[in-house]
Amino acid sequence: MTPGESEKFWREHGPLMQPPDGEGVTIDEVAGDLCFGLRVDEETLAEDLARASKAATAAVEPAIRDLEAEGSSSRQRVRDRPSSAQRLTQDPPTRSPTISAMLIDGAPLDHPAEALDDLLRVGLEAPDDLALVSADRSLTWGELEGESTRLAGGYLGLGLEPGDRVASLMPNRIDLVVHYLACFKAGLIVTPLNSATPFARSTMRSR
Amino acid sequence: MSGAKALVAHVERAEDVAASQLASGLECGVIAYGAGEVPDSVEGEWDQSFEALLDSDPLPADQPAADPSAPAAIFFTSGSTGPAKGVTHTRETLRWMIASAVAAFELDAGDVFLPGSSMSHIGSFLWTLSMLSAGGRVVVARSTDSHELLPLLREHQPTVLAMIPAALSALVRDHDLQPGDFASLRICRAGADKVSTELLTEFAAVAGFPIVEGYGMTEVGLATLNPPSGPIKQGSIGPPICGFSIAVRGEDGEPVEAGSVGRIWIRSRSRMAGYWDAPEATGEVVREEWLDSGDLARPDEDGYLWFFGRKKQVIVHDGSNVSPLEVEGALGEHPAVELAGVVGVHDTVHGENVRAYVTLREGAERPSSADLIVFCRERIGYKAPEEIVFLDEMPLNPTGKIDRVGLKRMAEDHLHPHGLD
Repeated sequence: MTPGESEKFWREHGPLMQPPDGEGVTIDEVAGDLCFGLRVDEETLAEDLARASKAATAAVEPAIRDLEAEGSSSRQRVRDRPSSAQRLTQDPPTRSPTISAMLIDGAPLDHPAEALDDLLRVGLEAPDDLALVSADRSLTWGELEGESTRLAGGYLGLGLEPGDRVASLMPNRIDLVVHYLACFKAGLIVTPLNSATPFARSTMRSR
Repeated sequence: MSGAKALVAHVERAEDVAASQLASGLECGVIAYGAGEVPDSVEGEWDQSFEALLDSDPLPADQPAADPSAPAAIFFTSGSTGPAKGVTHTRETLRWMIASAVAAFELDAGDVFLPGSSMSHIGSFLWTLSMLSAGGRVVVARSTDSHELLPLLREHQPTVLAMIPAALSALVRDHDLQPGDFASLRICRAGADKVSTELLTEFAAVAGFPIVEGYGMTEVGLATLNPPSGPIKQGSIGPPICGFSIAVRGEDGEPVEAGSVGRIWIRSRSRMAGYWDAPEATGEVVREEWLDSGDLARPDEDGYLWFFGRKKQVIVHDGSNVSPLEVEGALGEHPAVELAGVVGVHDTVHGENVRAYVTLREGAERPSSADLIVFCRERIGYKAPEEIVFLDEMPLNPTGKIDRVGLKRMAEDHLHPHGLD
């Protein structure tokens, strides 16, 4: 996201949570707040964010400009590195160019993945093949699509609306994947809580 | 946006949820997962059954499409530094994150992916969605125990396995492991924590191919990976993957030379929108298009990165920077050591001393502290620990990484473990 997009995001998707007592927020409080009604203050948030963003940008602008300028030459060298048929190289490369500005680019990425509510598109070309397997059960692509679409309908039927957060406290199960996909379809925000530690202690301990 | 409204929870957690009084505040209640009985003590609070909701009428086909910039997921980081933060990803940042991971792992519809960690954290959440988006099969592991994983490896013949080092280490050393158990794999990725030389060696010996290391953060997803088709540099976290740029900068904000340690800055369209309700914390790490990871690495001439540790975990001993990872790596080479976690402890003379917490392998002959210190000195010289503390069990954080924050706290509580002072 560009800074402009980022500001727009927070403008549109604020307001955010205020800690109950105005002090620091712990995971306990955050997790709790996720599930309770929230006190919100849209304007303060937008202002804070704009201020922080402006200050941060001003502070590093010169460094970033330099970096971009110096980076272009090293970037080229990194791209030019020879591909090796040998998968495993432990010896240092024989070539040793000096890279003065360490900016390394991965290959460009032209497209994002499918939209989140259409993530199964490729798999659904073979709807009877297995998409998810585990020790106790499995689901085909067609079944996964059907279950997640029904669960999405079920969630909205409970009174949940797009943009609502749904916390989860779940071990790894095929149904956790169904849950994530259902939330994506229904426009709900998945909020996985940590399932591995005792819940009362890890998420609700007060400061 | 109104407050979040529902919680999906396994019935095993009913007592915990009740004790937290969380359930009573949910507008749409708790959705109970698992066909088991909800304990009487909390009956009434658990309004819905997940299984029943699966029989609902499907979402109408004319459901309006969600805005790409709308939030889609919030993950709480395990808080290895400071209080936990809610990393907020949008529908769009997740799509870029998934596309990058698909490209990096070279995933296609013929692959079978076994993510061997919690799907409630970004790692296996991302592996699962990436594999599905590429049309390949996902093997869901209910736990990371070898008892769960070995039958899954044998029955479902995954082509890709991704695990956290501590769990992978246990799997590789499991007595029931058979020679062919890794035969179907083309990639075994280990990450989220330092992979010891010992584990690299042991895995390569049983599997016949190397572990692929990478690096990622909840804030951006997977950012680097040794390319599965090579070249792989063992011990390196690899170069930036497709869609990612990385700059390594010194304290002054200037890029460092190859071979020098600097801070990892990341640029990617998969970057989070920000931390939930923490604009200041967001402002601390976000600079224009870049994210300051707070992690240190040494880039080499080929653009591969060598991880040096979290900036805040680096130990300053007599004015020299000591990476806990390097010390842990040296200890891990000792045949009796199972796991090692290294932290700095305050010392009036040296600034900080290096203290190592170690657990020993079952049945191994117990070395003395002096044995281990000498062993390390031979390998890493002055960076060798000054103190060794033996533990029965290594504390792991919820992600399964060695809990260095917990060890640090333990160290502060017991500054002088041997009572010498």
